[in-house]
Amino acid sequence: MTQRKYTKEKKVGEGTYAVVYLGKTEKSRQIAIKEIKTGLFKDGLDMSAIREVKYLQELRHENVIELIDVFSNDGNLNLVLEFLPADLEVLIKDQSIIFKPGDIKSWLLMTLRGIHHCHRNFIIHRDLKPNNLLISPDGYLKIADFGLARSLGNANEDLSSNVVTRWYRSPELLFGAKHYDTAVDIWSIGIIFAELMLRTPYLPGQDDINQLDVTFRALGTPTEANWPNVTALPLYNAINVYAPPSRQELRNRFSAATEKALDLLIAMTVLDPSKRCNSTQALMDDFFTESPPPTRPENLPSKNTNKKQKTE
Amino acid sequence: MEKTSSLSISRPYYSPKELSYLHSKTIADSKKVIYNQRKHQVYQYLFQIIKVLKLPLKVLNTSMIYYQKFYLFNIFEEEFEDFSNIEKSMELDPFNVSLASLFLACKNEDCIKKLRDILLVANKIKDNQIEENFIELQRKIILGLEFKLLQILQFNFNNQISFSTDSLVLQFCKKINLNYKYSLFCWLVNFDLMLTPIGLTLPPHCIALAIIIISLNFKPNDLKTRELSSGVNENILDSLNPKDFKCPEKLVNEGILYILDFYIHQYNLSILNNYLPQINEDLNKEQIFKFMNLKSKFNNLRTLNEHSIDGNLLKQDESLSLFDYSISSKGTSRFINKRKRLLEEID
Repeated sequence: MTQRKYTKEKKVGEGTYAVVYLGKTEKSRQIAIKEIKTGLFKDGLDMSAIREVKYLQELRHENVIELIDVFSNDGNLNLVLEFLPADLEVLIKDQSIIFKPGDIKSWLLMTLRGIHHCHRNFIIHRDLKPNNLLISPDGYLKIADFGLARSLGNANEDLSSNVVTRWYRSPELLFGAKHYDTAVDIWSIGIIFAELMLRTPYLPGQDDINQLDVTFRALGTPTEANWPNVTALPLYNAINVYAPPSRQELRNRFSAATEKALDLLIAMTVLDPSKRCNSTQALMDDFFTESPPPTRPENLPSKNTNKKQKTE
Repeated sequence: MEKTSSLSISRPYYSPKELSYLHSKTIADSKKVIYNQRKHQVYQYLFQIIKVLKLPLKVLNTSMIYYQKFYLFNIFEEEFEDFSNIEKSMELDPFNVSLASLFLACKNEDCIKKLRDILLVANKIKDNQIEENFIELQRKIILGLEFKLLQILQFNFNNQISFSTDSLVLQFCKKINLNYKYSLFCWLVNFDLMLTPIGLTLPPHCIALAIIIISLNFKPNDLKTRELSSGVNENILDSLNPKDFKCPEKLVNEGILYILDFYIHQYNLSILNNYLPQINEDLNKEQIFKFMNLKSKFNNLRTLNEHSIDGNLLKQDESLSLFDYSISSKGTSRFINKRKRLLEEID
């Protein structure tokens, strides 16, 4: 009972705080083992590892990576995770794979279901990007890498705005807001939705300053009129003012998108976080009930040759 | 034969009987007084560090839970017989255990501070000479203690502290429209309770509701505050239903009796004592009599039934034995955070 047997078969990656191995359970289920380095050169157990254990232990959902086991061996901490061989970034980049509208709808739906489960448990992911949306062998999309996640704190607590990979960072984070909520994840999903349609990153800023410019060039510069009190945010200064895009401009940019797809994209990328849709509203959107239906996971395109498991 | 593997299931709470059993194994009778003294000192010490580092109060709460949990599975002994072994002496020092608890609590509460920064403040408060070699050694000891703590907690960061009692107390006060004096009274009681083991027995929402019920019964209209308070609706108490707060009634009752006992025995040492006049205006007697009156009023409350727990059963329970760290350093220790998970595997 105590000795649940896992085998480590090969090392597939090494990050700053962990080494990842592929392996199998006794029942031949494929798994990934993340061996956390706990050396003295660091400040004890890494914060990312704590967050990953803390939140994955609480979440059990078909669209969130499963933490199967936690064990300590030879003084190291090991996390046993389900094996997920691909990620959405790999599929987006592979131009030989054709995305049908139902495929995009299916991936978006699974991402929203996973994040809805996190949000209803008061957890913000804070690092959603195609690279962190892993794909199981049977086509299910699962949200992974909870190394930056945190629970919704007290209203008077300051949060760090230095979260989320730049291209997927919401305007409130770009402006250095210290109080934000689950809306930062919805923004990221909106940008991923755009990327799935464009097959190229939607807002690829070169640095933090350029990210502001790229974001507002595409979606308009926020003002007091459309986002009350935005000018009070720490980094709101000396920004170029761009008009919000017209519906026609968006239609031109996303030429294959239906009107309902555009409506949902606009709702998820509203500049003012308090007016942005939440995960429930997004899941209930008409886009998911209009034709075509979301592709069943097992019928989604895959890249069989790619074997990948995320490391930090 | 030496054990090479172990399985630990995370236990979020321990019944009062289990707590006394664990303490009987880790704190010798001759050291009980000194353990409590140290705990008071540690609490003050951590509070000062938290103030300097501007950390929220929930970090103190979590640190105290970790500190007390450490001594459920590790023997409390302050001095190592071999004086030449400085590292071992430092590892046994309760203040270093408290710093490891604070360091881990900071991480778990997402208020990250570098260990070095914590140590600089901590040593300054204790007037320790801050030499580079000493800090480096202390850092090494505390990181070792952190890993021990993580194993005692079974790497489970959620059970006791998903929501801190202090924020729940305030939210509940707001929900039932409690006035300023009553709310402050609740907050002070919670502050006092942080140095008690109540957090090892009861979940935060049950403690918070017990505090509110005590406040409504105590009627602290004579609490010394500069703020004026409006009256309190007398019907609040009758309309309070533990189910509305998702609290099992017996656990709230345990909390009420624990808090009253605490003030009956330790009122003079409490923080609340500084905020209430010496004489209770209702009784025209010392405040402690008010707590005694309430205790007799609540004496018939239904509490946890521990009849089934006897000494022999506790001895057989492996999860209540001293923690064997050698297994994870030489073999494998597996940690499960939910009992349901274990039952699934057995099936």
